[in-house]
Amino acid sequence: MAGARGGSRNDPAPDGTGALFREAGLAGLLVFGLAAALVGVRVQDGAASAIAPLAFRFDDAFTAAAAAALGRLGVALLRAGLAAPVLAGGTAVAFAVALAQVFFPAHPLLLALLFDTAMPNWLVALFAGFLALAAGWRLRHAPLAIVSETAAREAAMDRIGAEVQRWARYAGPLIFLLALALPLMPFADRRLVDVAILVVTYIMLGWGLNVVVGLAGLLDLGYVAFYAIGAYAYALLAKYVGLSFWLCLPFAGIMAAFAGLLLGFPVLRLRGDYLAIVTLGFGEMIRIILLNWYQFTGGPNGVSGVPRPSFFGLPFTESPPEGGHSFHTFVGLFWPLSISPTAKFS
Amino acid sequence: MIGAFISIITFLLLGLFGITWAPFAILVALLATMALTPLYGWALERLAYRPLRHSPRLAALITAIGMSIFLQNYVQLVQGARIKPLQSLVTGGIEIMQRGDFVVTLGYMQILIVVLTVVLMAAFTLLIQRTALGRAQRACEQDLKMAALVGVDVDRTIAATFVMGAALASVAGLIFLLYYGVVDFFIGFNAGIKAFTAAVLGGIGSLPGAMLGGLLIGLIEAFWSAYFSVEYKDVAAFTVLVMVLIFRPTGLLGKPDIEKV
Repeated sequence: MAGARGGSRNDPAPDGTGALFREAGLAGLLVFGLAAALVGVRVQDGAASAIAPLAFRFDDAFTAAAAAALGRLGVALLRAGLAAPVLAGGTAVAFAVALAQVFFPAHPLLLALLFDTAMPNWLVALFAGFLALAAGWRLRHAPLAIVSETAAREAAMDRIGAEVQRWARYAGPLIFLLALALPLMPFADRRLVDVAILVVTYIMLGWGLNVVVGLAGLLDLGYVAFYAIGAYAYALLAKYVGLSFWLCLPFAGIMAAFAGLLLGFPVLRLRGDYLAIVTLGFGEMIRIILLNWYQFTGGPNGVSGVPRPSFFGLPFTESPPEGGHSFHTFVGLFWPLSISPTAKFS
Repeated sequence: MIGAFISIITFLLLGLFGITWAPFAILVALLATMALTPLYGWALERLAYRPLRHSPRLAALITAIGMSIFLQNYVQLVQGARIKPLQSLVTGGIEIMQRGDFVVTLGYMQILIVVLTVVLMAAFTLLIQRTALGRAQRACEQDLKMAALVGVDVDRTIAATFVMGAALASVAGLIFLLYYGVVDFFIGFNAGIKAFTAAVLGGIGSLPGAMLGGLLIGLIEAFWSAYFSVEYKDVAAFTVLVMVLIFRPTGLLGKPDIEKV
């Protein structure tokens, strides 16, 4: 199978339905081989293992194999130009699985036929729906002009990329304004704001990584160590020296930069895999040191009680300290209590 | 990790049928895991690597990391996150030396591991050096396009390499399970980093270099743990790696890397 369908998808589609079904059958067999041991048998642990060491769910392994065979059949049919049956079958499977999952999630027959957990069932329905959509697209736009599937896909991706960049010019400022307004929205609660802050943190990490890997072309697998160094620099400086956030902010950056210097001098002679492994090792070293030097860093417990940032001595807290002001009382930021986001934060 | 899990499932299945005679059980587990784990290797190559054959190196590396995270989460989902214990099958050993209260024993398990490793190493060296598949593999390592031009089926060769690699890794998983008696979904991470480190230390692409690197990493960690601290043994290993690479940027036995423009 590996050799027969070798390197290219440009080969003319295998002729005859026999080849299609053989391909689907092979995919099903492969997935059954993959799933038979690991999905079909579960090693029990804890109290359950005393009763029976193994739990069996071969029905799920069969389901996986059947889903893979059907999906492969759909893809192969689509490639052979038979879009109509794929459209019908994909729609039917997607709706059947989705309806069964919504209305009878615990029916014994469906438990036997489908997966026992909801997520893979939804994935099956999603993929069937996607196949049906692709088939419908094929039916409307006759695939005459497609010389090579790979070239067509790359052209389409290029088009989408150009479109995204065009839109980004207008969407960027809009998203920025939205981000600024997010904490003030009536639906914003603590969890949403936390997730949004995490997103911004990761964006910042991505920028930094882009400097090293993207612009400089150095494959740095230990980049995240600098994230740890910055965080620990702030936490430990605040804990042991008592510096405030605004003093620690440049210090944390400087310390991470020095760590980068320390790493950079020896490793910039290296190329390719060698550079990757040394940076990976550096990342691991930082992690191990932070975890094991528990007298200083708190080890796996971490550093707690790091003081929060303040604004010229005004804390960003909901309730102002006794006889003083907090930032929002000082500046006069107040909302009616009913829509106040801080009411939901507490 | 997958090899170790398939092994423990085989052992427990055999246990359900009352078969606990160690040599037979180990043989069956070896066959089962060497038959089933390579399917994962093949599927991985087909799904994640072949479409990226002509992409930049970074894409393949990121895919490798992504697939490793995917497989770990897959096993965690279907098998649970807790460690799975297995009672030891091979116990006892030969007493070599005794002085006072100190007894030096060589466990049967250790002997089994060494024998299995040596046999597999010899078999795979022969395979790489003497067979047509091995020749094709070496050709693909040197130049994919040229290998294809002189009639090597590149796709089939790379798929076969993934299958072989997965089979070897599954044996390693079986040995891990037998020796330590526990397995969880995360055992592959450390082993992967150490294997990569050993390969880089010895020089990528050199079989004796990889063995030397592995030996050095193991000895450094053992001595460091014994004389200094167990917690920082990985730090010591990586420090030695950095030191070596500063003076020999292509590893101990690696060929000088010629930048291809």
